[in-house]
Amino acid sequence: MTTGLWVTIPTYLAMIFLIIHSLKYRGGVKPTIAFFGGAFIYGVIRENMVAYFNPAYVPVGFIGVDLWIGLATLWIIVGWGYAAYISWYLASLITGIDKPMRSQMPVVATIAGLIAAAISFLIELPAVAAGWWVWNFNPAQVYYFMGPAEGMPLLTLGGWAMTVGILLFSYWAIAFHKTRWRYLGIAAIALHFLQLVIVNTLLTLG
Amino acid sequence: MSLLDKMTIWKERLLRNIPLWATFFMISVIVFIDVALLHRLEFLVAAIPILIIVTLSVAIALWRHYHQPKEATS
Repeated sequence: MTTGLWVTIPTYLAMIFLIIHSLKYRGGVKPTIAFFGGAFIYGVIRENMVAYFNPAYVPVGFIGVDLWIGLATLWIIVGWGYAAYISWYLASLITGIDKPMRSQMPVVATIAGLIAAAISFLIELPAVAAGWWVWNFNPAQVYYFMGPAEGMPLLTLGGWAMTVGILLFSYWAIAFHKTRWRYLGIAAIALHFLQLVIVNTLLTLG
Repeated sequence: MSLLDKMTIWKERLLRNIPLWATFFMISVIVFIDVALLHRLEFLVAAIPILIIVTLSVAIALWRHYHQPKEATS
């Protein structure tokens, strides 16, 4: 409860500032609604799918301070937009590319994904320790970190990287490019959802 | 340059770099939770990767800013 309050309120506050930044520097109202609205819809679908197909993942939420949308908590859903936006910004600082051209998209999305993996390391540990969510994978099947990062499955690093990378790639393809690339963006998201179903089902079966 | 001009420049820098402040804010909140609420000092290790990335990205951006190639004039 206490840790929940300490993390939800700052997240929502910071989100307001990220939206202001997007409105001022990333093309105004339409791209901002597209990005944060798209990330929100993506988060709702993704989190519900993972919670449904993978019983090893249990979103506990913060009792009394968090809202639920289906099987997912609002904070986690909003968190994907937060993580993707700051990963995009840091990737743009490294590469010097703010709105990637078609040929640049895979590289910038990969760098943003790696940044998201670094963020995941920061978030997952207190999340597991404070019980914001629970990972119940079979340790014989899924590698867990040892030492200071005990309790965090290695799998989550890849999950964060892939989620943010694909979310940004699809957003850029759909928002900044024409017909064929828009289809590619939609296909990437659709394939990602299919991959989530397959991976989570296989992990459950195993 | 007047004080007002300087303040305008700093306000612009502050706003332009909101995601950077949001990153530091996120790191501070999580570190506070790790140390003050969960009493798990060992979790501070988890902040190292993102801190390295932030430092690196700011250094690269500053380097690029001060070493912009001169545009070819022909």
